[in-house]
Amino acid sequence: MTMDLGHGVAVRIEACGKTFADGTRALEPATLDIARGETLVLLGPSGCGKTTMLRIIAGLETPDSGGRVLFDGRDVASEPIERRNVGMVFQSYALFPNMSVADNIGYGLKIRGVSKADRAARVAELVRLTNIEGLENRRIDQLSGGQRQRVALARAVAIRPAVLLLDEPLTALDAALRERLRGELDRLLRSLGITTIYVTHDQAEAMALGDRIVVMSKGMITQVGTPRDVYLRPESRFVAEFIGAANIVEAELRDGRLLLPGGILAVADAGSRPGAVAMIRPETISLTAPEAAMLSGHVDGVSFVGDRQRVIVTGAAAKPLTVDASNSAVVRTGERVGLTISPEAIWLLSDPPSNDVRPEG
Amino acid sequence: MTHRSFVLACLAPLALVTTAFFLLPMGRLMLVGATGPHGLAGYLDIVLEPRYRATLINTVVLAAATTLATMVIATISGMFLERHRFPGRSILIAMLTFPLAFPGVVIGFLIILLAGRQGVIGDLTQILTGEKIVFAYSIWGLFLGYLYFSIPRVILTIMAAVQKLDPGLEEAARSLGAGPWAVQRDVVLPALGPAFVASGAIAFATAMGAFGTAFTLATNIDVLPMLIYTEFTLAANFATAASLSIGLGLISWAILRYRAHSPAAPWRRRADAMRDRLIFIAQLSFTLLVAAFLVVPALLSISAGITANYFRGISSGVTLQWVAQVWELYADTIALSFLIAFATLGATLVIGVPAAYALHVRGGTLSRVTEEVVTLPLAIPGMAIALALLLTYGGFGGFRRSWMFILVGHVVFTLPFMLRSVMAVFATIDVGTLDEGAASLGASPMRRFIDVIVPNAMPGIVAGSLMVVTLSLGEFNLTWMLHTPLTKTLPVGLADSYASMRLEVASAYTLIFFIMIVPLLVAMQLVAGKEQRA
Ligand SMILES: Nc1ncnc2c1ncn2[C@@H]1O[C@H](COP(=O)(O)OP(=O)(O)OP(=O)(O)O)[C@@H](O)[C@H]1O
Ligand SMILES: [Mg+2]
Repeated sequence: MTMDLGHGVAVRIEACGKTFADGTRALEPATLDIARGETLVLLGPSGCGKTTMLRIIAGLETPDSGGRVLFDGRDVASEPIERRNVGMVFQSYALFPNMSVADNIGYGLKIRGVSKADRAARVAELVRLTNIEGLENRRIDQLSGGQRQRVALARAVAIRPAVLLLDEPLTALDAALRERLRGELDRLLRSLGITTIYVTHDQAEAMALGDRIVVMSKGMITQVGTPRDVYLRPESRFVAEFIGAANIVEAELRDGRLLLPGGILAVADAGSRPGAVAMIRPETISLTAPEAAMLSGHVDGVSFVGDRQRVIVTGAAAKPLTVDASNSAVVRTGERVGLTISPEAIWLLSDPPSNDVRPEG
Repeated sequence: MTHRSFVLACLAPLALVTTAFFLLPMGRLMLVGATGPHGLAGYLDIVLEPRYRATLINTVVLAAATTLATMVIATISGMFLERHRFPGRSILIAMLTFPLAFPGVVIGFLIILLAGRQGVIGDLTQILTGEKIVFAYSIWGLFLGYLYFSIPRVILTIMAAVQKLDPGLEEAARSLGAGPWAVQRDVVLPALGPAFVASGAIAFATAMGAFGTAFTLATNIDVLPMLIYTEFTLAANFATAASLSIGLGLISWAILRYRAHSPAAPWRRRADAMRDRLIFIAQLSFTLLVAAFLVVPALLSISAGITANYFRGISSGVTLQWVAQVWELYADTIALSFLIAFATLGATLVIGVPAAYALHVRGGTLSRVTEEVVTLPLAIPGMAIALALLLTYGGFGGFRRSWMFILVGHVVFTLPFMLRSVMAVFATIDVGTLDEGAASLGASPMRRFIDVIVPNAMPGIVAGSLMVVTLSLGEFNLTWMLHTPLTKTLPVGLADSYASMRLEVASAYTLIFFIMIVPLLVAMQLVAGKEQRA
């Protein structure tokens, strides 16, 4: 394959905040480094400022004064989007209805004065790469959602962008298609090696695609790390709960043990403090006979979800615990069960305990 | 050029033309209104002076009656046509909507053919009762004329609103247990409320400011536009004419403004019986009657134009001599009309399309205010605009005497239509994102405008263009005031011929006008139909 690698740049966002004309504070000043060729995912709930950050990098919004965007160390403040050489995939795709699929993909090249023959070759290459052979002469309104998504991606990549920016590119698609395209997208991004910034509110998508994930909340960056980091070692309760399912357990920590209503739990930290907050992922808890465990409770409900069953156990901690058990285990509601958790799987958070915690009698 | 400055550049021509040829003249008009013997208090004369007050009341009552009657007629026919499919439906719709762009003068003439001294109604009543009923030259004639031009507009609005109703709404209501009757009452009619209010407001405002019909009927009916006209041209009473124009403009504007903010109007229940066979037939007959009212006078006029002697009837022979005579006498007015129509089109395209884009992408209060100001000529009677232009630029002899003077009036009058039409398309295609998409690929603002914005706005541009040409060709209210003996357009010539030529010649001239305008109307309907299907 003759596909050349992208001309990725390193991107630095420096103290970029954004206050809109109506006074909305969409983004608190944030600093972020994105390495050349890296895929960085901006993840967070709706309205947390992901799109705003992406649009600042693209040059579609200007940051509040003091903020800078650097491409390979060069301040791009004075360059409008059309001169930044960024490839952008919009949530609505923004495909031009007045042009065919091929013309859409070739438009950026035409603007750059690429000759017709070279353009055709490049378009053909991208059509192949994004698996849309045979659709070149279609009108945009004759495409399915998934095909539109591929055209939008091909069009953004065709210009060999310095940075590829994608704003929830898969959100408009159904779940199965989303999963398939996510895989294709991942392979494509890796083969191109372009610096990519990808916005999503879907944590599964973020973990599948990102080299690193930036978790955002209310206009602020709350954690930056690899998917493994943010999942296993969240820095805050917000991150723990936003990414995957998490049990948050608040209890007294004494000499490396959490004192719970249903027993005790050993943790990797040997300290003592009255209000510790710990995160335990449901899949790290295993169900055993009650006599064999230091912690036990009652099964309050079981739901079968296919690859596993989700068990709710009360009485062990102050709040019900969620446990992922294998789908072959026999678990009955009302039954007493023991809970075993390895000390390494219990992650202590630095958040203060919520004040409504009352030890149960 | 940055995007910001490009957007501002897009607005510049609009700002220039609007300021020079609309805002400035309107300001001047307001000043002149206060130059009478009573100064500013002259404005109060509209309500204090018994003659003016009577005229004002007359005009308002007439406009209100027209609106009410039109709404009832158009609702029955419009809902019926949109809700039923039967053979000949599309022909019926075409018949009901073709008078859409007839100027007031032509409608006046058609009313004369219907209810004038040589009218069919007179002939029929003569045969039936032995007494000839002639009412074209009374307030009833004017009422009939206003109905004639309101019905097509309102029917179209109501049909469009009925069609746009989300069928899901009705289905949802039914799923909740509402019977057909309750669905109409609680869902359909309330949802149509805004369309009722909008079309009613337009019908009212147009009836308030219409001048051509009254002018052709040439009666002593006292309505405001006629009063303004006589005060200005015959009595040379500029201050009164100006203050009356301002008053008239304010009333029309207020009515049209109100429409934008009114909530859905409550509406009485009616539609439950629509399924009833009997009602179907009644509605169909009613609609056919309305269509006949619109079509018969036009047919009369066409036949009169090719009849050797209208008084003796078609048996006197069919001839093209009248058409030839009209061509001889008025060919230059036809040529000038086309010249002005296409120049108007050019100007509105150059000014309107970039401005529509700029107003759309800029958004914000300033854009809304600008849009409001620029579309004011929709609400202000042509009479007032013409007066304002005359008072401001009448002194520039060369300009005043050239066809450019009429052109300016037409541009001010038609620009809102172009602007609205293009902006309506922008509102549906998310140009903002398309623009950003093209920008992300490296296209400059200018390039984006040409490659992406304009092609995607095409449906609106085509619809707007047809509208502008049609309106310009038929424009009378402004043109009559702005023309000179050497710059007569087709409708001005029509008014001339109605006043001074034999009926056959006037009819032949009307026939030529139909031939010119009907293809445009058909094209407009086709474009609109294509839009709706897309
Ligand atoms: N042009 C604007 N003017 C005013 N406020 C805005 C504007 N654009 C965005 N905002 C506000 O800024 C905040 C962040 O918006 P942003 O679009 O960045 O969120 P997001 O994280 O992309 O959300 P989503 O997942 O829903 O797309 C929101 O509160 C939003 O309402
Ligand atoms: Mg967003």
